[in-house]
Amino acid sequence: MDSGLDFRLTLDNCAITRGGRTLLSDLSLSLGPKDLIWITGDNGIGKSSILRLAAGILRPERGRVHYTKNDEAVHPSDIVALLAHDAGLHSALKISEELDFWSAGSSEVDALTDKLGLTDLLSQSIKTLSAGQKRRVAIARLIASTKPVWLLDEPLSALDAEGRDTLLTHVKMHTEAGGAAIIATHHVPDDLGANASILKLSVPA
Amino acid sequence: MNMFGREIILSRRLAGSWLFALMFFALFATVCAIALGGQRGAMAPIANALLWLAMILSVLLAAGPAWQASMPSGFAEQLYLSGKSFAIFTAMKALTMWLTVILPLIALSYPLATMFGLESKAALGATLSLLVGSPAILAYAMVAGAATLRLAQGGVVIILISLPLLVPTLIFGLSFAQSFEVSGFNTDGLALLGISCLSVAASIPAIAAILQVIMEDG
Repeated sequence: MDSGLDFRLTLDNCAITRGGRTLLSDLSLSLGPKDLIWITGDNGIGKSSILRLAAGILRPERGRVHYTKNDEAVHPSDIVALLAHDAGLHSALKISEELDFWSAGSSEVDALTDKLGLTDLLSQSIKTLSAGQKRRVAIARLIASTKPVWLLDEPLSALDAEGRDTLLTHVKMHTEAGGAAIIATHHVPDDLGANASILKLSVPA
Repeated sequence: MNMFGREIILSRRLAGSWLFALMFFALFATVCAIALGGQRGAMAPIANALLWLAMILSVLLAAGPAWQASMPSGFAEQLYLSGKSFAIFTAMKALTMWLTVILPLIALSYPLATMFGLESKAALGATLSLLVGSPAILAYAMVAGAATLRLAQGGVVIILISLPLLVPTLIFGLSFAQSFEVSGFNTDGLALLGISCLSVAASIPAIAAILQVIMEDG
C-alpha cells in the first residue's frame, strides 16, 4: 500500500433491511488512515451486513456510503478489500492459480505465501485444503490486493494460534503504515493498540 | 492469469459440462435414428429439425452446471472488489462455453447429418445453420442459467425460460438450413446471423445485471 495515501470510507445515516426487517438504522461511520474499528455483537445482529455495506456490495435502504481517495470520489474497488466468510475460491483450482488470478502482478505474493505457510501447498488444489488453509489463501489475497481499507469478517475463525498472530501482526503493520481496517468478530482481543475503537451492536431494549 | 485462462482451466478440469453435452447430443441423434427405424428416406427430411433440437437441448442442459462450476460462493463479491467487470467475466464465460461446449457439437453435426441421409451440401447447410445460430442458443441458455444460479431445481427452469425465447432462432435456423442447398448463404442466413448478434449483445449486460443482483442478495 502507498503509505502517503489519503482515503476515506464514510457511512452516512445508513439503514439496512434484511427480508423486510430493519437490521440497523442511523448508522454513521467514518474510516480514514490508521483507523481500526472492531465490530462485535451477537450472531445475526448485522456485523457481516455492515461489512457488506461498507464494501459497496449491499445497498443501504436509506443513507449513503461513499469512498474518496485523495479527495476524489472513487469506486469501492479502488480502496476496499474484503475477507468474507465465503472466499470465492474455486475447489478445482490450485492455490498458485487462484493467487495468480486475483493478485496478478503483485510483488508481495511470494513473501506472503511464505509468511502464511502456503509455499509448500501452492500446487495443491483448493479442495484438498482445510478451512484454516483456505482462510490463509484468502488472507494472502487480501494483503496482496494493496488496498488501503481492509474489511475482515470473523477473520480469526478457523485459524490456529500462529495464523491468528500472523494476521493480527499484518493488521497492525497495515494500520501503522497508513491503512485502515474494520474487523467483525465475536471476540475482541484485550490488546487493541492505539487508534482502535470498538463498535458494540445490541438489540434495542 | 486472466479470466479467459481461468475459465479454460476450469472447463478442462471439470469436463462434466462439455462432455455431457457432447454425449447427450450423440445419444439424442442415435435414439432418434433408432426410433425412425434407421430409414434414411424417413430421416433425411427431418434431419435438420433433429439436429437443431439436439443442439438446443444439449446447450440448455450444459448451461446450468457450467455456471455453477465457475461461481463458488463469494466469487461475485471478490470479482466486484477486484475491479473486474461482470460483463467481461460473462463475455469470457460465453466464449469459453462456445469453444468447449458448442464447437464439438458443431463438429459432430456434419457426420450426424450425413448419417441421417443428407447429401454433402445439405449436410453443410445444416452444420452452417448451427454454427451461425449457436451464439443465440448460448445467449438464451446463459441468461436462463444465470437467473437460476441460486435455485436448487435450476435445470428444468432453464429449459422453461429459454425454449419459448428460442422459437424465432429455430424458425430462421431451419429455414436457412433447408434453403442452403439451393440458394447458398441467403437472407435467412443473414437474419439468423442478425438474431445471434442481437442475442449476444443483449444477453451480456443482462447477465452482468443478474450477477450484480445475486451478489447484493448475498
